[in-house]
Amino acid sequence: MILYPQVPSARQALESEKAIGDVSAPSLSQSLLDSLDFTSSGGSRATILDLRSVRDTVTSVAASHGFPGRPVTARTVPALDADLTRAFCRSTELSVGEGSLPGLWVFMCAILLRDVVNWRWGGEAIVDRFRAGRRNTFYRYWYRGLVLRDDDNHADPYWLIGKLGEDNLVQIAERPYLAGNRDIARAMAKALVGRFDSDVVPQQLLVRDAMARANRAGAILAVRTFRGEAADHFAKQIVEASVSALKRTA
Amino acid sequence: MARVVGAPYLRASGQAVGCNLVIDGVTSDGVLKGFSYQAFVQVSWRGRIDLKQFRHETGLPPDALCRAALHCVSEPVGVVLPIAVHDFDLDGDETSISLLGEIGGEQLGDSATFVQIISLSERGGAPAASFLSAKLVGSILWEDSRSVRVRGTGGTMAVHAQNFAEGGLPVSADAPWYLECRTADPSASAASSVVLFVNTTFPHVVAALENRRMGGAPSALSEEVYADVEMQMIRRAVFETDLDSSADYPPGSIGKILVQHALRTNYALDELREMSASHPDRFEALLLGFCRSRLLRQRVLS
Repeated sequence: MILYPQVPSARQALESEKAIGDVSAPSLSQSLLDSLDFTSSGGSRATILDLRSVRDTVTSVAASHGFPGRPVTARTVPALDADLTRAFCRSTELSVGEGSLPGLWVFMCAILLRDVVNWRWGGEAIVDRFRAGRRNTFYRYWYRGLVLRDDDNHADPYWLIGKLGEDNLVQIAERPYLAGNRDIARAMAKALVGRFDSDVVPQQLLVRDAMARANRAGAILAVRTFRGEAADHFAKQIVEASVSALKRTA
Repeated sequence: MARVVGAPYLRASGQAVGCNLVIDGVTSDGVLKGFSYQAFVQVSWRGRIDLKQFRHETGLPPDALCRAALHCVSEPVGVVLPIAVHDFDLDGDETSISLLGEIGGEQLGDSATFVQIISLSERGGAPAASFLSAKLVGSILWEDSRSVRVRGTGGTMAVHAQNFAEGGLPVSADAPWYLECRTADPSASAASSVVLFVNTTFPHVVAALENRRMGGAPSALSEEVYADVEMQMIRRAVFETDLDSSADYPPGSIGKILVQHALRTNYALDELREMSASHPDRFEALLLGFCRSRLLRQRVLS
């Protein structure tokens, strides 16, 4: 396992502020790495080559969407986010333990990929996109990849991200109680995507209604213990109930 | 925030279920010692279920099938890590549970909540003793949890020293400390939502907090800081109107911690909100009295 650098706690706020609007590529040097923290054991520390590899992978995907010159538009955002999720998750393969470290996310967004983050938000990136937390740009990509990765689809384990789109992803991935159970998050996403092709109800309405139902069910059902077929069955029931209800009110 | 109301049905009490959870390497103050990515955390739930009592309390028939599940929620990411399950029916007087498992260290973040759940797997054919008995597959019949801190041995609040003059914080460069308390997501881990920044231009404050963190005796200065932190936490709970004292925030979440702080005043959150709006002076006096006098009492008693 590769251990990535972390910005020390005392510097996180400052580095996040400094990164706003900074579209320069970072200068990756040994002295920079020496000034950062690493998890003390459990893997090998990322080298400059490792970091360049992550950066090259991400920037080449961004370049295919126009980075750095062509602005991101609302129309291109869903495909861009899906591609960046794939590229970042595949090139870093972060564990949950490493993904829990605030300093790592400040390093990724405020140092290693700050130009990509600034470009992604079209010059309107707020500090939350760089600092640690759920709004950190690459944390969101990583978290969505983590909970919605579908290993049954060998060709593209991240296919659900591309199918869902931003609003629907927020509905699914930003309900931590449900999304925490990856089987449920995946099953809900698959069941919903399976209904997108039908012209029964608008996608966003369906996703919102189904996720609200699933959340309510979580108050009385042990949803976090549902695995495999039980998760699929639960998701199908919820989505079908939503479709029926929305059809009635349509 | 909308309150989710569950359907009323009967659940078993602690008398019916033995909840003895053993997490290897956890000290009495709830800290996981010797954590590393390479280590595995061994967890076991061994106990007996008084089936007679369980049936009596849940109103379920003897042929109802149940599932005991043990899982871990790795915070702050919030990912559920399944550990073990055991299926059983409710026939007989007693049954034993023996669930064992382990979690890889690389899966753990700041803290881990180990959750024990017994849920309805399938209702049997015999009629239930009560119309309030659980009917839906997956209904939670009994639940318990325990949180442990994984990284570090300090408090759950991170303390960072930095020079405020360098910027980056929404506070005057002359302020001795600043509490950052992010509440946008009440379900987020408190460990990653609350940070106490201390200004390095006040080295005596930094030293007092460092001394306390290392287990030294509390000083008047560190108590002053912590009294202020407690007051700010209660204020956040009161003025953050999205917080709901009846909401089921996850253990260790910022929502849960803030509500707990507010409730320690012996007033309900709504009462505190009403008081702060109608009698702000009384509210401030209550805060001052509660936070300062409690610390002073503790100091005298210790």
